Amino acid sequence: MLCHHTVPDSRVPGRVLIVGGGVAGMHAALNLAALEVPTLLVEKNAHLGGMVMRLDKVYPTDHCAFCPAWSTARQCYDSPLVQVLLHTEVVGLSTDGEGIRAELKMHRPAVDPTLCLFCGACRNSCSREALLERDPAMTWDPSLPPAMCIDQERCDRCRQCVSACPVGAITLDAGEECVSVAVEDVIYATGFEEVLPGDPRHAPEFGIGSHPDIFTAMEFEAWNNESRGECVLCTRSDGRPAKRIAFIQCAGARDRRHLPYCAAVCCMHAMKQARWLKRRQPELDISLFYTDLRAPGVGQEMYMMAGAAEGVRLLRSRPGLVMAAGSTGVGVRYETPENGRPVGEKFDLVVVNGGLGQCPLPNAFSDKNGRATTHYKCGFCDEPADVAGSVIQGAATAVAVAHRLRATAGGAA
Amino acid sequence: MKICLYCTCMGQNARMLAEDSLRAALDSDIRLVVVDRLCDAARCREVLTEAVAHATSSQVVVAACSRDARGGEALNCVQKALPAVRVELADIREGCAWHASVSGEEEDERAAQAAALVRMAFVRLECAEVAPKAVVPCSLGVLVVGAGPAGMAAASALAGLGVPVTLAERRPRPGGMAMLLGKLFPHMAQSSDVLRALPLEGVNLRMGCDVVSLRREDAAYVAGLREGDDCCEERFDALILAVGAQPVLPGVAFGAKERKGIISQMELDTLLTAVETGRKEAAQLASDYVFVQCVHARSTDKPYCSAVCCPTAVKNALRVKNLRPDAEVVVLNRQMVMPGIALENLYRDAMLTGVRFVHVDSLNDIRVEGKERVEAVVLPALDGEGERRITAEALVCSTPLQPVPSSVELVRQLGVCTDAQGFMRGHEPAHPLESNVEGVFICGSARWPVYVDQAVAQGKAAAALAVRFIRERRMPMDEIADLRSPAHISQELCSACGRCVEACPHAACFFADEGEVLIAEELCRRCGVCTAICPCGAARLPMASPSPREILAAVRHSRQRSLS
Repeated sequence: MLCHHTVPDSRVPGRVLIVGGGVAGMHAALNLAALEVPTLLVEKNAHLGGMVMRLDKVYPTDHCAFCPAWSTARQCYDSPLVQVLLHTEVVGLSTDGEGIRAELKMHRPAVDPTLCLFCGACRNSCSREALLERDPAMTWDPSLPPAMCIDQERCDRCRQCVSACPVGAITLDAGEECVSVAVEDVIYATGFEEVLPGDPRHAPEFGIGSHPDIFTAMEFEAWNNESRGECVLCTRSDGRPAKRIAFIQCAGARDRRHLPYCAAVCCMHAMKQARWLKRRQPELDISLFYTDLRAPGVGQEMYMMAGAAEGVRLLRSRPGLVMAAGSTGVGVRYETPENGRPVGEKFDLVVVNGGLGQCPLPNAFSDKNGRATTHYKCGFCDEPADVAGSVIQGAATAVAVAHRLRATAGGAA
Repeated sequence: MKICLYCTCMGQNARMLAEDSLRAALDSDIRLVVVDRLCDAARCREVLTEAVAHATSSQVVVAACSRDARGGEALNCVQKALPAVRVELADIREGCAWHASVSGEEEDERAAQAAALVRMAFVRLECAEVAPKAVVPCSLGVLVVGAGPAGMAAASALAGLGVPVTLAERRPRPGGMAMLLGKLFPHMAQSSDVLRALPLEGVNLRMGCDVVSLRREDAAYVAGLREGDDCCEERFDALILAVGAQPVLPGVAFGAKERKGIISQMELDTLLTAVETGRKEAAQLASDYVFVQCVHARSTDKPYCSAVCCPTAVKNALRVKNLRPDAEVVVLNRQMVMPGIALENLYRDAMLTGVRFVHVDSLNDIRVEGKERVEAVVLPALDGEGERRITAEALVCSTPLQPVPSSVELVRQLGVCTDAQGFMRGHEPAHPLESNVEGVFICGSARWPVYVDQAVAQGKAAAALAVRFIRERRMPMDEIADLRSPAHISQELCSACGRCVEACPHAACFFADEGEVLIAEELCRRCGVCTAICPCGAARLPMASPSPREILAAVRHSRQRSLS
């Protein structure tokens, strides 16, 4: 069922390469499969599902995010027309006389999930607790069947686990393999990444990385994730209970120095987190600093208003500075919406939203030969989109690609 | 002995459905065992050895999530751990707990509903026998209702994929609301160019054709079509509803009755198009425009953001500035909703061109001056003392889109869910274009206000879903039809009481002309409601012996064969 570590079969003609196995990429693949177009779905991480797999709940229904994404991933694995390649990056793309050739770099994972029995023998043999039952970045381990994974930071490469494994699933010097495949067309669905310190798109004034109580949106999602089984009460890094929490919107976004655009999803995402916090701990004092509250989708305005009615304080202001204030918490400096006077306020935890950068497309995609290769984009890497938007764009792109292939086939015949 | 394994799903089920209330609602012969994360194979083995090893049970129901989530996985894990036992799944998460969290049912109602689902699963286990096949022929094509941009995109995409498609539109020509607009945001393309990119060759075009009724019959959808005085009924495999929306009119807002100069954004759009095409002079544009956003929107009456009004206002502000650079445009807004890259760029362009955006907390703060004509708009000053006065020759009201009442009536005939405002509801957010009725897809502004580019994308996506639906339904015919055996009713035992007809959630049980109860095999989803409710034991549900994995293998085999 899951032979996604094999080299892609080079004999499948008319195959479309989809770069990125998030929601948009998976839906593009499934809809192309329904239109009888074979696809190669390439994902650089260990799992399909992309960013959605790291979310706890999704607005506006407040249901878990990983289940629908997981079932879509399973359909991709099951479809005979979709070949899923995990741990694989697209490193080059060129057009020769016959069509497009893609250079893929496939990283062999340390634990081969097709062999792993999940017996735990490796974990028992490890003295440094480097073998984990699931990827710590994921809300829910979406691998099927489950496989152990290695925390490379803890591993001291003693090789005890290699000899302990009864089926030889572990290879510590996991190498990489480059293959070249011919593809008919390319769809980019590379999604977004959080802009972190070191990236020129990062805005340093919001203190990300400078203090453990200043979170990015996805860090906070991971920390406060009840689907992991253990739901944490909000505490500060020094162990004291957190009482005041601030969400700061448009931090680095809609800002010509960093990210000039609006990422479209952060207002709702922050309100979702705020409402879940309030639900679990009604006594929390939560403030949401916004520039424009953007809630244009189905049921979103109502969701926002419900949040405001539940006691989330909405402040129309754009803080200019977030910094640690010693043992007293985190200071936020902003101008009051009433009269524009600058004030400072202290919070226990600060969640900084807005730094969602589109994943850069690999170099080869900017056509070096000057020849126009037909290619398509869908999902966040095209235009900021939430889950529903990515699903729609994935399916719409599949139709556009299928149309073009039919037109080309008709022209050739 | 009957055992029900209640998977709390890491607290998600348990929060909505307490163990004790479920136990109280279940029949006394069912033993409830509370477990967690059954879909995790290792954990499943562990909890099962503790929980049920000592029981000699022949029937186990796994009360967990839907088969599409991890329910199938949970079922597999339990079956592997208990190979000698017959296991069945009851979806109490999506089927009850989650649903109840939205509809706000009481604890005991939820428990009763969950208990009913568990009981049905036991019935499915008990009533296992071999049964006849179900065959669904699909060759009727797809009906797209509404020829706005979404409907045109859907029909154009289907025709391009070689699927028979009929496009029905009440008006004499396609284009919908996009025909009223000249330029479209965010890329300022001409609407005629955008529509021209959606060719309708190969589409059975039915312009001036009113869809007066929609219903389901067997596995097909029957549409009543009226063209002039002619009425007919036609059958289709799938429906795409792109029935659109209509703008709310400003009405008497800001004293529009007694003052001149108060127009809607739509009227301004038409005027700008006339000037751009040379039919009117630029001098007919006013020199001082004040736009007011959120008129009749985000209010108690219409508590939603229509999403298209802010971009429309920015677009028209730019067009005014372009045609008459000396004109002043002030946009009074509660917030400018311009999400994404293209819209944010448009917003920035407008600011750089000199359009002023002024924030107001509430429309009640806005006072309009002028007796016969609009002369000025007065706002409270920023510091709360005094007033700000903005000269205005024309006041343009941005109003939201709302569903068309006749269309809402039409889609409700099918049982398609609509929200309190009348917008059609899909399965947000993972399957946004799939309605609650199988084979009925929704797109465009009837689902939620969208701009033309988005409507086109949704139309294409709905077309892909319709093709997928038809293919998946047609494919299993010869290969796996016997694996999806429907319920059937023994006519010897049936007393024709009609309880199953009333109870069947899929409308599969029906009264035939002779008064006997039959089952429409292609609609039956094997839920077991009829067998659970039947007082005479006439309704039986055959056991589907193969596992989901075997079904998939059969599907894969048939697909590969059709490809080669």
